[in-house]
Amino acid sequence: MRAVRRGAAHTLGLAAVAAVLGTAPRAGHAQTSPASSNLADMSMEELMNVRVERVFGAAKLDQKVTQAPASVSVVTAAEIRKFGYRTLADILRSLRGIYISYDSVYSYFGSRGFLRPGDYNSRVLLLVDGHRLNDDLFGQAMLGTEEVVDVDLIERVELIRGPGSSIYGNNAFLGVINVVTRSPAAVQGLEVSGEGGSLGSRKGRLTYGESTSGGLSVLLSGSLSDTDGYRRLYYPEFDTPQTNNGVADHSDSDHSQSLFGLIKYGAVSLEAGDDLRGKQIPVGMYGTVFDHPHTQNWDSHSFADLKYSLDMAATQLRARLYFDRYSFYTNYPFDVAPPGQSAPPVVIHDSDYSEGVGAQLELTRTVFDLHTLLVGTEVHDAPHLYQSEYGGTPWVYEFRDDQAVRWIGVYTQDQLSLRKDLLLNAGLRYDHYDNFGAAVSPRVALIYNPTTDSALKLLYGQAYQTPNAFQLYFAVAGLNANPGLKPETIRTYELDYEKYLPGNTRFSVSAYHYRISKLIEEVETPPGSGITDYENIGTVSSNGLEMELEYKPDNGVLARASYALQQARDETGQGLNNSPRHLVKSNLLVPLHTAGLYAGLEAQYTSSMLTLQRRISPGFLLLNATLSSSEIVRNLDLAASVYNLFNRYYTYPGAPGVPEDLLAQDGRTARLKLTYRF
Amino acid sequence: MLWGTLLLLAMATALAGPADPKDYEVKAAFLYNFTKFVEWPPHTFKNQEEPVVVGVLGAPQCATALEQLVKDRKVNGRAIVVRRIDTAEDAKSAQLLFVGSSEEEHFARLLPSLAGAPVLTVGESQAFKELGGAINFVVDDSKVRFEINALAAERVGVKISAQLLKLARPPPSRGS
Repeated sequence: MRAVRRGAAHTLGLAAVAAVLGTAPRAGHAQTSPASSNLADMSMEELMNVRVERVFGAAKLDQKVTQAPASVSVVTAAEIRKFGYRTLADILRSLRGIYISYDSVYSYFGSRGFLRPGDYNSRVLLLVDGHRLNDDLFGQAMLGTEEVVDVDLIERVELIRGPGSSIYGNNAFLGVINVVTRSPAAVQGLEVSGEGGSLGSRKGRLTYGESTSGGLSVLLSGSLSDTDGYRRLYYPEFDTPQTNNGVADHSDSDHSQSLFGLIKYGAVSLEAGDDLRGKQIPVGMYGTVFDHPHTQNWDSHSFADLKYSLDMAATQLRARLYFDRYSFYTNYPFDVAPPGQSAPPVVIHDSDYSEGVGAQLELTRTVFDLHTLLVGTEVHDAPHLYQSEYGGTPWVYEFRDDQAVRWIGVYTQDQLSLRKDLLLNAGLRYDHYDNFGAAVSPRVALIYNPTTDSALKLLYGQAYQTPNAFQLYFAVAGLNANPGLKPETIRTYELDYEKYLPGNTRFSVSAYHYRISKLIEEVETPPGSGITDYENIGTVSSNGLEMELEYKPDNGVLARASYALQQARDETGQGLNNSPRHLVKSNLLVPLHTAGLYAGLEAQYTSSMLTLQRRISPGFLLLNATLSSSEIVRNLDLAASVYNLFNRYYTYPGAPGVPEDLLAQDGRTARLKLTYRF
Repeated sequence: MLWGTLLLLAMATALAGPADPKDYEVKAAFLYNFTKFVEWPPHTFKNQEEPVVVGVLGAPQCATALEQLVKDRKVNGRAIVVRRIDTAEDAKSAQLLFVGSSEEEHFARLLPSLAGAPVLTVGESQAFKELGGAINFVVDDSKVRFEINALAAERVGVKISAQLLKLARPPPSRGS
């Protein structure tokens, strides 16, 4: 029997898309207009009626975006609310050059033309307040309803495109997603939220936050969410009388629950979270019985992070101690009846878990007002990487194994002002894993401001991604382990230009080239034997161009449009599958001037993609709309959203191990959300 | 949708009239005005000739605008001096301290040495508010507004006149 495992065989072809770096103009010299002396003569009341022009580069966030040696996109809590984003996947889908695929279980991150569905989603690093959420076992970033932290607890999401291993180490391959949670002071009270929507989806949340004048702040939140999903899902690949004519009945439900807590006192904070998510799988993958309601995946995470920060004269110190536990459980019924006979299905289970602890120390120091030096070290011990597969009557273990890994990382970064208008940022990280040795990740960025309102960036970076426990150690009949696997590496070159135009408008354009080597793929070893294992044999080379225009005055209007053109090829020169040539995004936020009403509109176009079987998954345009208000009733937030407004039928290429080469995605759905504050 | 948005942007840019003053220019005017409506504790100034010192942490453009603005002007008979702040000693010498929006961490480091000194702290970010600043600028619908934390001012012995308190924005409804 073929190994039942999470994650499918790898698709051929990879796409890598280099992130575009955004740049921001430095704050230029002050220009006092003739009006300033008039301003001094005005009374306070008159001053309060003067309209001002927003200056970019002044806000800490703008400066962070513009001086970072990477392209950064930021989505705030206000945007999350006004555009009706339900999960991190929704948030990321609105961003330039990003596309998210869904296989009816997990959501997968695609960036710069590279996405491999079913491939553990481990090429993007997901952090919550600096805490790594990619688990020790499979290194996955959970972006859909399987996410660990509730989307309503998010203050903002930062997507730092490109190789981030020079600071963050493993998994920062295509980018880093940093989720910053809301502070207790921002909640300040009790929040109750309820949602209801299409497909029988409902969610309830309770959040309490308090920040006292004594310096103690606390935040506690719990949420519960359920979706019935599509009651009938049709898959043409299963359209035979024996398999219910291709219809999966009541097999798409999704359940998730999560808890989150934060206690902060002075310089010390303790953050912890716990989540559980169960999903029925309707697609009939890996040979499981089609239309069986018990085909399910369960994922669970727990984490705790203790932080201490010390701010001295020109030095900042950050110290962390953390713990993670991840567990995975499946229920897969297999049909083992000989042809022509019937027999009850044999249920096979995967039960895996990992545990890890770690400590990190980071020091930032400004030296002679020229250098901003950062030095850090991290140690990590994962004593359990436990995988097992068992089932049948009587119970038999097909596989059972417990491994461990320890790694240590040392990293440094220096930001140096070469001239008033020229900044050099160089970083290097050295990681040592006790199973596969060392990984070195350098990064260099040169940031030049030809004028005060424009910037040019040149970037080179390297990142890596380690093979996961399944690829290294899992073995059953037909699949061999390969403990000799090495990490994949990616090298990127980027050139970005950003300019601030009058009238609160920002324009950016970037070009990049990527090369991925030692890509891990499943191959027959030896050829013709029918036995496979994982090998470092793939290569991907990719080029792309991205541009973005954003108009954001202070009256609440937001208009943003972006275009990404990408071309990724594998080692044979073939175009990759799962790689759209064009991605167009546009967001429009308009205040409606009554009762604090806002209309949030999104349009996203994804051009056609090749599937595993080299068929075409057609291009599609999706529209989402949300109407939100904070003022109809005091202390009540209301939002009504419609997703896929025109009920467009669209597909994403399927993953290996799944019979469907094209997977149909959701039609039009709606959601109503209420949040009340006490 | 994409073309519609781009067209909108182009139109908006084309229709933009003469430039409005920058936010830092208006904030500088407010800072000057604040000195008129605030009372420092007795013995803050050694004599009638001592100038009012307005310290500016970061925000170089605001500092320059303020310098232009206060030239040849007096408040309650005192001249006004603008000082660009870097160290705790500098900060303690000011009667009003404006913290630029990228300087909250620097401000946090200075706070312990400011304890008890009669310095009216003014900022322009949520982070500054959370650090216990007394007055916080907020730009709302392209207009500069300010929120006052009267307790924070009282703590350092600075009295804010009722006129100024009246013009302050009430704390926003949570979640905006």
